[in-house]
Order: sequence, then C-alpha cells, then structure tokens
Amino acid sequence: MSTAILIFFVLLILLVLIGTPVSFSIIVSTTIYLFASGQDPSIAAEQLLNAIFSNYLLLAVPLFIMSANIMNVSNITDKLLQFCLSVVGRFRGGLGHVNVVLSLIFSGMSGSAIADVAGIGKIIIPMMTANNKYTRGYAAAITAASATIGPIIPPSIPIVLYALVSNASIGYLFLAGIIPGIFMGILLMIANAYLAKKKEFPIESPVPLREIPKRTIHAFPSLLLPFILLYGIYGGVMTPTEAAAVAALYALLIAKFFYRSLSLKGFYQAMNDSARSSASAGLIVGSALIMNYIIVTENIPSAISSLLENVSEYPILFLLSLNLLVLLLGCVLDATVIILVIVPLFLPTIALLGIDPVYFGVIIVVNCMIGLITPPYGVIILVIQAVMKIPINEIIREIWPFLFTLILSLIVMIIYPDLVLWLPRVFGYEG
Amino acid sequence: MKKIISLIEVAVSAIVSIMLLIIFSIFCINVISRYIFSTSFGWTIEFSLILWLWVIFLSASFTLKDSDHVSLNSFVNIFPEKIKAIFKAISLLILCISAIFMIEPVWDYIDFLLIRPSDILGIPMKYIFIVYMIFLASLIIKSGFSIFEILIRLKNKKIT
Repeated sequence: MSTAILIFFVLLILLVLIGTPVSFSIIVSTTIYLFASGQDPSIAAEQLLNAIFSNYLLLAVPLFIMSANIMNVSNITDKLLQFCLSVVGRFRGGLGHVNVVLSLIFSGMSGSAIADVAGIGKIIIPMMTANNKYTRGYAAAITAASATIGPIIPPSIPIVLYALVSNASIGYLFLAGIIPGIFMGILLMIANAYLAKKKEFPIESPVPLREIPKRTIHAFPSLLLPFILLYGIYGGVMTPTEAAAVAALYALLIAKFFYRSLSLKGFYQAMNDSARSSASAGLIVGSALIMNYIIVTENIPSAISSLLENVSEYPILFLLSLNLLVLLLGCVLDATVIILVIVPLFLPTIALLGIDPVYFGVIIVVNCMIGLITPPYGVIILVIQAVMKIPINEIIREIWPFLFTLILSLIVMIIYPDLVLWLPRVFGYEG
Repeated sequence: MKKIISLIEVAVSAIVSIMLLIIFSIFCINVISRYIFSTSFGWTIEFSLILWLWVIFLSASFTLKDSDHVSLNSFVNIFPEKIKAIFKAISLLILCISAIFMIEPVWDYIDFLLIRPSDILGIPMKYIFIVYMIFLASLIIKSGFSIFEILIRLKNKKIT
C-alpha cells in the first residue's frame, strides 16, 4: 500500500464524517489520490463517466425506482392492503401480519427498500396507530423490518449491483432470493405473533368471508405483476433491465385504466421524484465504481486474499466473520457502498474457497438490508422518521426483537446453503 | 437572484423528468417491437445511456437537495449548531477548491474526446460527457454561494 492510498482513506473518512455526501467525498478523495500518486487527476472523471455510460445493467435502477413511485402515487398499494387485511388481518396482531405480507407482495414489484417503506409506511403506520391500537414505535419498527425483505425478493436493485461487480448470473441471483425472502417474512410474522400476544395487541374485527373474493379480484391485476416479471425474465422474453421498464409500464396501465387513480399531476410528481432519487443513486453507484478502480490498481483484493490464505480450511468460519464485518459496516455505511466497494475486496477469496457466488450474493444482500435498520445509520429508520415524524428513539426501542429475528434468519441461510440454492438449481443452475 | 435559481430548478426538473420518460418509452417500444415484429433497434441502448448520464449530472447540478444525497449525519448531529455550520463550511470549501482544481484536467480529457465518436450513434463523446463540466461548474458556484451564506449567518450570530 502506498502513502497515496493512506491519504485517500483518511480524507474519505474525514469528509464523510463531517457530513459531505458520500458520492462527492469519493470523487474528491480520488482526485487527491490521483494527484498524490502522480497520475492524471482527470482519471476520476473518466472512470466515473465511463462506468455510468458503459453499464447497460445500471439502467434498471431508474426504471425500478420509477415503477415503485408510480405504484405509490396511484393507489395500487391501497388495493393490496385491503386484500392482505382480508386474509391475515383476522389474527391477533393482525395489522402487523398485514404489514409483513404486504411487504412480501410489494417487494415482488419494486426494487428498492426505501421505496417500499415510503410507500407502504405512509398507509399502514397511520392505520396501526389509529385509536392507539399499536404504539407508533412498534408500527414503525415492524414496517422497517419487513421492508428489508423488498430487495431480497426480485426485482431488486442491490442484486443488480452485486451482479455488476461479481459477474454472477442475475437471473439465478433473482431466483435465489425468493425462498430466503419468504423465509424472512415467516420469521417476522412469528415474531409479530409472539409480541402481539405478550403486549396484548387488539384483534381487528375480521373482514367477512364473502368480502374476500371481491377484494381479491380488485387486487388481482397488481398481484399478477411479480409473475409477469418472473415469466418475462425466465421465459427469455426480456432482460432484467427491460423487465424493470415493463414493471413500470404495467403499473402505469393498471393505475390508469383499471384503478383509474393516476392523475397527470400525480404522474409528473412520480417522474420528478424518480429522477431525483435515481440521480442520487446513479451518482453513488458511479463514485463507488471509481473507488473500485483505485482498489484494483492498488491490488488490495489479492493482498487480502493472501492474508486470508490460511482460513481456507474453514470456509464457514470465514463466511461467518465476513458477515459479522458486513453487519458492523452496515451500521455506518450505505448498502450500495458495501456491495460495490467492500464486497469486491473479498470476491477473489470467495472464489478461492469455492463458495458459490450466487449463494454469497444473496447472503450479502440480506446482510446489507439488515444494515438498513441497524442504529445509528439505518437509512430505513431515517426515512420513516422523515416521512412519518416518529421520534427515532421510539423506533429504535422497538426494533431490537425484529433485528434479532432477521439476524437469526441470516445465520440459518449461512448454515443451510440449500435454502438459497435449491430454487436456482431446479431451474438448471449448476453450482 | 433567488427567483432565477428556483426558475432554473423547476425547468431542469421538468427536463430530467422528460428524459426519464423517454428512457422508459424507449425500453417499452423495444420490448414490444421485438416481441411483435421481431426487430430491435441497437441505437436505443446508447441513446438511453446518454439520457441516463445527463439525468444524473443535470439533477446533481441543479435539483438534488442535501437531503437527497446519501450522507452520514449521525456523527455531525452530536455537535451544537455552530460546530455543525463550521463542519458544513469546511466540507463545502474542500468541494469548491477541488472542483476548481479539477476543471482544467477534466476539460482537457473531455475536449480530447472530440475525436472519439460513440460506438453506435457516432456522436463525439465530447458532447456526451460535457455534462460533467456543467456539474463541476455548478458545484463551484453552489458551494461558493453556500459558504458565503454560512459565514454571514455565523457573523450575524444567527447560529448559536
């Protein structure tokens, strides 16, 4: 390691600590690094521009964000909520279950946890807290916890990013996420049932059985979307990036013609929000990729790989300690940065140890999503706090049991790789 | 001055929204035309990538607010307002100076790309990447302006 790289890391950490946007911090530190190591400072711009311009896969990011925003401004989410309410709302802690099931379905449509929580949270948190049925901390905590499932079940922006750095098949990665996502949902529902009994949450008056067919029909077009996407990708009709556009088109069509709930103003708002959030995502992805350039030039991955050579007898031990590291980093770093910058450091070692890249990808994405709800830098918690004005300490107080449940599901996935790899293997994955 | 800035913001956010809409439409047309007419257009991919690059940097230049960016606030938040303002000023100053420092080498690089056409559409890469210069310029102006604002507020003891 050179002195230049030391300067790079110190400057980067300082800039991020004083609140500079992460993307700008990376661009500035890279420029200084290039200057200090006697290279042309314009390489930073070159890397950034070319990274964005040459990665067709990245176009999935704005499209997935757009489809989630369209669903949020039209009342598709509301129709799904009515459906979930009629199915799982009748048990104790019913709205908690509704929350989890809604996230499971919604995550089959949108690619981002932030969009999930902003869309679902705005509807279900006021419902849960009405008449003081649930404390607002609990409502926020279970919304946050269930939103982590979003990017595990396809479509998923973090999985697209992992595919970008690892060259693992995006199709198989998407398939591999389905069972772990459902598994996490089931564990969260068990946790909710237990807490509901302990805290004596009320039972909702059940929706009459004769209402169910009507509500199902109403929700049916939205329930169909995940299947259309999966068929499209695995049937060879479209690429994952095109699937993102089709998801947005489908959401637009049913919002306009089936639910008749999308105004021109709402649509413009959705486009506007999507442009802003995808620009901020694109900027951070691009800058994370310049950081990768430095890491590769400085040969850091092979240094780490040779450092870790003697762990090769215990792949599981390596995997557990790496996950612990990512979990800790997730408390302070953004998931995008972890997937694009930290994960590539370990990819050579993963290959050396014979760990399957698809399995590893799903584990890491699950791990990063848990990072989104860990204090102090849990982006999802911050979003709920910003959107719903619920004090952060009330959310954090209630989040621990759910955090524990999600970590438990991560450990189970690490120990039983078949949970992740069974479905891709059924579809012909040889790993 | 404030009025002009907000006018530019509204105009640019309309432009980037339309660009995003075009990307979306191109993709839809591509899927449909391939499925129904079994033809596809190669240039559409490059065109979408150009628009996507412009959406990112135009937004970063004009419409992205501090809260839109991914940044770490939990460390800064433990300090009183005055220290926070000083941190902010330092961070902006570093951004401003390094952006000024970047202008010349980056311009050399982008200007040089005049001779390199893009793969499919044949547009000189200079005109595709020039949006980065807009981004650098806005970074310099915006951060310079904000530093000035913070200093005045500090001097007038509006931040305690």
